[in-house]
Amino acid sequence: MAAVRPIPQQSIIECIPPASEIADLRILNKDLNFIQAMTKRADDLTSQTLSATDYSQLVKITDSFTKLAERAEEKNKTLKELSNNSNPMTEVNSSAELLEKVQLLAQTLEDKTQELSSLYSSNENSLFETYGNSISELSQKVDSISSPNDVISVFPDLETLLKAIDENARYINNSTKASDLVEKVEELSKAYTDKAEQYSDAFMSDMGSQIALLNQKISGLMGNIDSLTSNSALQFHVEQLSQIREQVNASSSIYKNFPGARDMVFNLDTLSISTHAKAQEMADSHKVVSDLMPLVDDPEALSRAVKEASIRSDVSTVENVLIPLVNKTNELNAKVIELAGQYEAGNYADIKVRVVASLDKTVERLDRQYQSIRSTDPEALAETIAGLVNNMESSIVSIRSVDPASQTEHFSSLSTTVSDSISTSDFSLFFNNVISIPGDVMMSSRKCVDLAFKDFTREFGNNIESFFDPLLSFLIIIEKLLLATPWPVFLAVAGVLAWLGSRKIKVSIGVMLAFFAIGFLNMWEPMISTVTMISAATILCLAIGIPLGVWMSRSDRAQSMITPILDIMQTIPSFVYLIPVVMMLGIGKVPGLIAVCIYAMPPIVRLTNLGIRLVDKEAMEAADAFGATYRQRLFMVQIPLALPNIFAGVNQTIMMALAMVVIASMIGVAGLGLPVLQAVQNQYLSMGMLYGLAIVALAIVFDRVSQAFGTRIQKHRSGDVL
Amino acid sequence: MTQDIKVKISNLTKIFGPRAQSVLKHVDNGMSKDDLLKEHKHVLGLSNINLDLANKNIEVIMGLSGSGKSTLIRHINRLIEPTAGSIMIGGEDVIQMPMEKLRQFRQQKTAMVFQSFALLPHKTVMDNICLGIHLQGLKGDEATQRAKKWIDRVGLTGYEDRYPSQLSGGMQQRVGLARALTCDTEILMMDEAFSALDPLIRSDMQDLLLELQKELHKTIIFITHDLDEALKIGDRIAILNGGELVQHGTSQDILMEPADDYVRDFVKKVNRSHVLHANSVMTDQKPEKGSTNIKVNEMDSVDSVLCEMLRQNADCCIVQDSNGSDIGYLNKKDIAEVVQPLEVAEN
Repeated sequence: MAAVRPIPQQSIIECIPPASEIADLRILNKDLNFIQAMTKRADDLTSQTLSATDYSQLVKITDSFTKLAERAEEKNKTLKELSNNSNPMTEVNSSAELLEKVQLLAQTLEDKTQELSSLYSSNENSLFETYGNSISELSQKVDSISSPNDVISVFPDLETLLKAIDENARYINNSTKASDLVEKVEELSKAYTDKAEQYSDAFMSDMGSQIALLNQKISGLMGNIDSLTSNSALQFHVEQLSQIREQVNASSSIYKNFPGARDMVFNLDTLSISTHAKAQEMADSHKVVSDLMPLVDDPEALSRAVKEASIRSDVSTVENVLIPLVNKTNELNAKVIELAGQYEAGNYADIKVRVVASLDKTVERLDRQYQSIRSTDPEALAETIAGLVNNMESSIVSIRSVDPASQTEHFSSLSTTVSDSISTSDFSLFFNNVISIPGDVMMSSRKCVDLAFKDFTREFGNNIESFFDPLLSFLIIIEKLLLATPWPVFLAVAGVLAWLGSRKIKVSIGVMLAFFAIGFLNMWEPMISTVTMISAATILCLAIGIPLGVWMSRSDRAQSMITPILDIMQTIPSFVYLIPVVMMLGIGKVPGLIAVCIYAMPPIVRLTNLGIRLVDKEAMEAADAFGATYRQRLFMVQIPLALPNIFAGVNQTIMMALAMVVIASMIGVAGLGLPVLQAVQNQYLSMGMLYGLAIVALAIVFDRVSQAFGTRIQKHRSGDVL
Repeated sequence: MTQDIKVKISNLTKIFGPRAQSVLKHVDNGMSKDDLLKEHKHVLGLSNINLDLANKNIEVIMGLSGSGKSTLIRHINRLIEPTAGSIMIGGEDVIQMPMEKLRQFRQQKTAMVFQSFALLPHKTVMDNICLGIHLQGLKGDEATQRAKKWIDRVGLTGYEDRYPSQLSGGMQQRVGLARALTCDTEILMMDEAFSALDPLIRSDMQDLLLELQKELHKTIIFITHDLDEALKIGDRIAILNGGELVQHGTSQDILMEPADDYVRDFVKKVNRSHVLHANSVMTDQKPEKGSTNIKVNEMDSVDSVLCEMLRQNADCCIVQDSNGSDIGYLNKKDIAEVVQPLEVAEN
């Protein structure tokens, strides 16, 4: 008999979709998310439109709509591809739905625009009125400008007005009024520019004198630094410095771009740094002197300390004043006491911190302002205003008007844009997209099935579970029994069983060695679980499969009914039937056993059927001719003659049950498969190999023993003289 | 030769196909086998066979492949259901028997030997031979004893524990024969039982069968496609052609009076002088010249008579029946006619 090899084990890796598919799926999902977002946006806009009460709201919505249409145009390829597709994973079904929503939005906007069109004209009128008032108000202000500062203070109002007009330019539909407005604004801007020019020189000279004054003050303070010897003098100096800094800070925007301002700020920086250095030196001196004070009565120690201090620190007072006096005991004493008096009166460290902190801040801020702040000199302001007026004018001329009539036209063009993007008139689309049932029908029918099954499991799940209880306790009892068996006994029993099966001492020893190795490598318990599971599954499969196979062989109708079921059982991915099994029975041994049986049963059924059908017709005729009953014929002729095939089936069933061990472990079946699964998930190479090889060892044991047994009971086929 | 009828086959028709019953009427109306196949896609297996098989005779059914002979024999124990007709055996119609009765009938009344032996490969010679009697319900020592007797009788002693695959073809067929004989049934059906054997072994087996029949006097229905075999062992021969019975008679009838060309073709190549009996060729007329002191038995074959006459250089001889009374004469001219093969005679 030909040796039967197990069908290759189905690994979980195979069941994971390849990366390329996942990538496709992601791209598809991204596209679908895009459509979903667009559709939702269209929905939102429609509801906003419905609740709009002001014409300007409609205009804003239209802007959003325009953006939406632009995006649809950008993504038109995607939209076209998805125009007929529906993805059951998302709620959104197709671009067609988007198109529907967009058309609805356009329609709603049009209706609403009609409704609010009266508001538009009143809006326009009120806008003109408001702007007219603002312009005349500002004209008065401009007229009353009498100093450079006035020029600057009027500027913000003027700027705001111009920007507002620019922004609302599209509300201005009436051309005569619009040109009126433009004229007025031009007048205003000219008046402002005139004023700015008028006061520009004054502003400039004013600024020049201010900066000159500041420079004078700064250089005065600079000259004072060296003569600062006492704490109080230093404090006074710092305060003056702070005043100058504040003044510069407050006017920084005015000083910007003014010639000389930059030098002034630089001078101020230098002053601040020098002051800082002075404060530092005074603080150091204070520290040195206060260290020296206790030594005043010991001239030698004092001299030595002064020398050390000169080496250790870098204080000019020590270098310049004390070192020359070393060895002149009295003078040195007197000088130290004098210096102590001089520096005693303040906390220099504190002053230093204050100076440094304010200094850093000031310099920093000033620098920043120089970079960012807009110049505020009147000429620059006038230029800005002129630029804004130009903008406004071009806006009024060029920007699409939002009066009701042109709006309505616009909506339909937008929805055409979207529909062009989606359009399925492209002939190739028909061939590139499979005709499929509408996504919502699919969704709802799937939901229906899912819910029905859920209800079913809720209703009968417990009954089904209790139906399988005996099976569970049977499994548990076997496993406990096997686990309780001392390992030498187990090995001995396995060896004896192998010998009984094969009558070959080699096979027997091999089996014992395999089991010993598995135990030696710490896999005893999972091995026992797996053996239990395999044995139970095989027994169950044979108990169901052989009678089924016999029935199939007897009736062609049964065969034609069962064969497709077996095909399904063998080819359907295991995970698919794991879903309902787990839903009904949860996870654990019994669902695992059922899953294993579903996978492992087909070979025994098929091969039993095949074997019986292949039995020599004359042998069957002989049995009939001698008056055998159906049962006699079955047991005396058919099954014995079909045994080679039936045994091939048994062997296959065992192998396939073993192959399912890893997948069964996914639903909580303990055993050799579980560590393999963990190893795959965590990339434990050695662990995976070890347990995988243990499964292989078990497979070989079962295979050799069952094949040897199969061969032995067919000894009559050998043809040898026994 | 007792001539009471053991098996009476009447109007037996078998049509192979899914709608056999509905096309039966066409056959009854005389549609030919070829037309039936062409027009209705049904195969006519047997067409209106009427055949009486005599008790304790060896009845040979002969025909070429496809002539329906195997189909016919399988109707006798109803391994094949007929489309129409009846088979009366011992006053009962086999065709009408309910399943249980049929099974008993098969166990008790018939035994069968198959062309390719149909032994069970997983059973020993002894177990194979016991198959029939086990099914009859006979178990244990009694069965073994009975089997032993037949094992001995067919010459298989010492092979009881072998498996069929370890035996030669001839020995396997002896097992098949012993299995059938062990059942001790009135009817023994042999479906081309010796066709698969080589000529020498076949001849041995034929002799064995004839020898056994001398003691057993069973009704043996023997299927063969070999006319020599049929002539050798058959008391009577039925010739089938294309599902129709062409001729039914003794070997002498077949050889002397072939019913049609088909039968004639069959007997053409046969050495008739070896098979024909003296009484089939003899004449009532006393020959005008030559001595007639040679006396032969009416059942002697013509070639043995010819040998005797040649040896004694006689022109004719006297044919006597078993009681010794003269019943006719055999002269050279008549002998020459039957010794000459038909083929040559026709030319």
